[in-house]
Amino acid sequence: MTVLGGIDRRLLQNVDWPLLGAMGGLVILSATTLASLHIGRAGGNVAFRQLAWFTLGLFALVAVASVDYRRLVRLAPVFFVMGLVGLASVFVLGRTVSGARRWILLGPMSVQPSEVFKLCFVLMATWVLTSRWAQPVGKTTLALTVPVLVVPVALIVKQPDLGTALLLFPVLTALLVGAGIQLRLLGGFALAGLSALPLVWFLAMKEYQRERILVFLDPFRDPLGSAYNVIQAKIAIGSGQLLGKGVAGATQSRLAFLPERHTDFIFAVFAETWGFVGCLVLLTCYALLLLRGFDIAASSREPVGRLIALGVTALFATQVLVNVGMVTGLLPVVGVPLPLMSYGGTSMLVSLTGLGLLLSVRMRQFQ
Amino acid sequence: MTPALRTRVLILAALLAVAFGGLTSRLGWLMIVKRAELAALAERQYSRTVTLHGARGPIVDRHGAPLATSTPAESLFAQPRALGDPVRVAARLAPILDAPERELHAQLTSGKAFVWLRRKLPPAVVARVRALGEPGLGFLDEPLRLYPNRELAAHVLGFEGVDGGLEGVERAWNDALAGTPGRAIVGRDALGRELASQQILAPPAPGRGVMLTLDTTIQYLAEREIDAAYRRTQARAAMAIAMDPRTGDVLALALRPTFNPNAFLAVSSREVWRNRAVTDPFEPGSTFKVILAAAALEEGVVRPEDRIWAENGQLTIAKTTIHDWRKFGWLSFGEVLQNSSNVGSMKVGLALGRDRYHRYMTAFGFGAPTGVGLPGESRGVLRDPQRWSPLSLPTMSIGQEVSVTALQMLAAVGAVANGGTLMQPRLVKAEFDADGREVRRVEPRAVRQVVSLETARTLSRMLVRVVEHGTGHLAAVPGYDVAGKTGTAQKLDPATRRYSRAPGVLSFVGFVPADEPRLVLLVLLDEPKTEKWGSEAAAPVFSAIAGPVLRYLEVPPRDAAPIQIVTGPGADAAAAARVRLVATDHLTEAELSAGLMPDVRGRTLRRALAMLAPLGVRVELAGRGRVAQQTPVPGERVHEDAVARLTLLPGGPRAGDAR
Repeated sequence: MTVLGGIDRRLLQNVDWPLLGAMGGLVILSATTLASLHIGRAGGNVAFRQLAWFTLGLFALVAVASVDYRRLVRLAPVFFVMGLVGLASVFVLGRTVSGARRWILLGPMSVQPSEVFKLCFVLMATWVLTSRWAQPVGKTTLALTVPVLVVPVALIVKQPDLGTALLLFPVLTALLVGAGIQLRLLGGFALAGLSALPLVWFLAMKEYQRERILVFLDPFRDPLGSAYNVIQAKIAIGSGQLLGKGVAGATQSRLAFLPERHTDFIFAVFAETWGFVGCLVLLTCYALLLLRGFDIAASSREPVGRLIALGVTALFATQVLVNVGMVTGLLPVVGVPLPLMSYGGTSMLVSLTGLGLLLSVRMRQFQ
Repeated sequence: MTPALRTRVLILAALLAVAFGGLTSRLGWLMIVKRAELAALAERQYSRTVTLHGARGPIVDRHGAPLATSTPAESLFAQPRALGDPVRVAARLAPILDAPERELHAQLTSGKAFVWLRRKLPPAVVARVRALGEPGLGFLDEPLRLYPNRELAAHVLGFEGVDGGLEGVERAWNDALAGTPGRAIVGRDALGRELASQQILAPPAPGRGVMLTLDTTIQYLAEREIDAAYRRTQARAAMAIAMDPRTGDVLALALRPTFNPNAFLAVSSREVWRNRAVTDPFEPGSTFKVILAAAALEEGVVRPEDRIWAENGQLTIAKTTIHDWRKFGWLSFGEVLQNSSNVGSMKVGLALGRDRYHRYMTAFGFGAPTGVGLPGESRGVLRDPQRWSPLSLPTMSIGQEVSVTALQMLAAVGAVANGGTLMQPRLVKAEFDADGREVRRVEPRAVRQVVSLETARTLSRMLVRVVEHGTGHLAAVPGYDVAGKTGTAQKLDPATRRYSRAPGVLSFVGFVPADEPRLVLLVLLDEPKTEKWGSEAAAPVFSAIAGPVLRYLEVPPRDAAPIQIVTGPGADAAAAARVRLVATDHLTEAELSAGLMPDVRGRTLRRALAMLAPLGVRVELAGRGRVAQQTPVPGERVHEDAVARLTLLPGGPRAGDAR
């Protein structure tokens, strides 16, 4: 029996095709950009590997979409604990890349538990916010979310992976807003968080992380060191101009001036190659995808579906904003991939699983 | 779902829309407003201007034989940051480059973006390094200078370092040889790796070729004999310089110890590179009596047959007693030269007087560089007469208290050989462009008439007797009248400030044939261990060089039959061969000026081509060996665009060989 066989015909009528269309468009843009990086050079199979991960991710998407999301949310504490174990396992089994222990090896693959954890977090937060202890939404609700946030953030910051840890804050904020918390309470919570920032700066952050923030404030502080990525990305984007330099002319990207050009900085490659017009197309794809996500959240008739959809959409939105903001020099460099665009197996699988959750909510919105 | 919560979701969506708007305007700022600035930054990063060196021009001898050429070669560099494993790369490179692994490893891990590993590698080595397929290694074209004759004329040629000529002609004529560098834009990536795409801004202009006055054959003969003498006498240094007295053309300049310019660093000391013939002045000793004699004869102070009392070998001037090497009594002035009497010479010098003597020394070119053009030329030491001591005039009369370079001495004696006209030594005949067209010609230059033709002739006859009957008898060349003078100079011992008794500089300078000189030659041995007198060491070397050179130059011996013009084969018998070779050369000149085909039958290919070259004809060849047949026939008028066909046969009939 195939996976699709388990899905009700009625569910299939509610598949969100614009969402899937936007997703398909982004993956095609990703594959062509990755392929362009390797024209005329050895090792041009990154694009194929990305497409292979995408294919694998499609199975995950269909599988998740065919399951009722409420059943998944009921299992959220299990996923959450497994996710925490995964985060902790990095310290035992982890592989160090560029000074950070973010990966663990599972057979031939290396998996990034912090990526996987993002979804576990959305599920767990939804579970907590919709649990009966959280009702009515108020101070108790806030208090319940604190351990759900603090424990994983501590583990992720320790790896260190500041970007992923910071993502959890806006996601949780969006979920609290969606859950109907009083904005006054949320404001107080945020103020408390801000007042903790100096402590974070001096106690939790590593020297290189502090340096990145300083460089963000003043990029020419160290043009060949920490600021190199930022400056190179800016040069690449700016030299793309209106229509881009085309695949062959994208010198900054193809000539390796741009670091991390397959992964976190792929947007700069895209911008240099396809120009401002290309960027508008790309952002339109994301906007379409995210607006469908909000629409799914708004259309859902019960809180679990609404919060799941809102959480996944907020996760996507934050990643897109932080990544593009960081590549264009609006935000400090924090190592967040661009969903569906950046090369990376774990990221691709997690993105498609998230989209699967959205579809699952959409397909069941009238139940 | 409550409408309030629905609104909240919509507010979040609106916030997102605002954020996207922010991103879009940021992109617009970077990609449209600031585009020119950022695009210029990009341009500057990925392109770099590099210098392209033009091909260095060749150096050839007077007949066009190559002395220095350039061959394609490539220089190996590494980009340590792009390397795989430096340990492995060093281990794999070491046997190919024949270099210590540790040294390579140190270079590969130096932390620089770019290091030269080896410059100017031959193609075979390049191919082996390329075959390794290691990333981070690369090559740039850098032609390699080759000196096909190895040590031959090494001191004249000098050598080329990384940034141009470092010694000799390579240095002195570097501007002509090097050409004009061009510029190209080369793409590069963030690791500094150069990309294949090049855009040439200004193409490099190839350097000009330089034609020397040297004759490879004469140079070889000089090298061979001076090398033998250097080894036999265990001298500190030795040299032989040959010049054509009529033009000042330096035909050969051979020094020992020498070096191979292909591997110029493989020397025991950098002193070896120095061209001592122009950089190191020495006290000439008795050879300088030629200068004294020329001045005295010209001024009418003395005639050859005038008799001079030689004081039984002892003369006291200013409380200093000077000894002759033998107790001479009465000598004619000719005998003074023949026997190289110091006392006799000093008396002539005293009669000449210091101002007149100084004037002649200056006129002969002493105390000033010859202007031959080689780097580091010394002017020698010739003090102003005002600063002479009472002893200076007599000691200068016997070649002491004055320092000269070997080339100055040779040029001065050359003036005597050349009827009294001093010629500036000429080393470069012409410069030619990449197509072989002459672009600059250096004409022989007469500096001045130092003494009259009469005086020069008289002195020549006296110098012939030096070789026939006197100290120079070992310099004689059978069949030719050699004019010359020996020299033995003690060196000043720096410890005692007195003339050392140890062997100093032994020399012989002379010219041949005496009545119509074609060759003036100087041989010098510096501190030979096994010889004491110039006559016994330097003179035979003169003879050994001059004999073959005269035959090579086809100079008729004294007893040759009168010159006839023989236009073809059939001239009879034994004497004919010699007559013909003389005649042919004359005929050649006449023919050439009239655009007539010379007779090249019996010639070697090289000689035949040299003879045909001035006509500008195209030459087609068949076979190998000597020329057996030729069209057009000798004496036929040929045009510039004509084709000469030569058929060569190994072991064909010979010409140009006296026996």
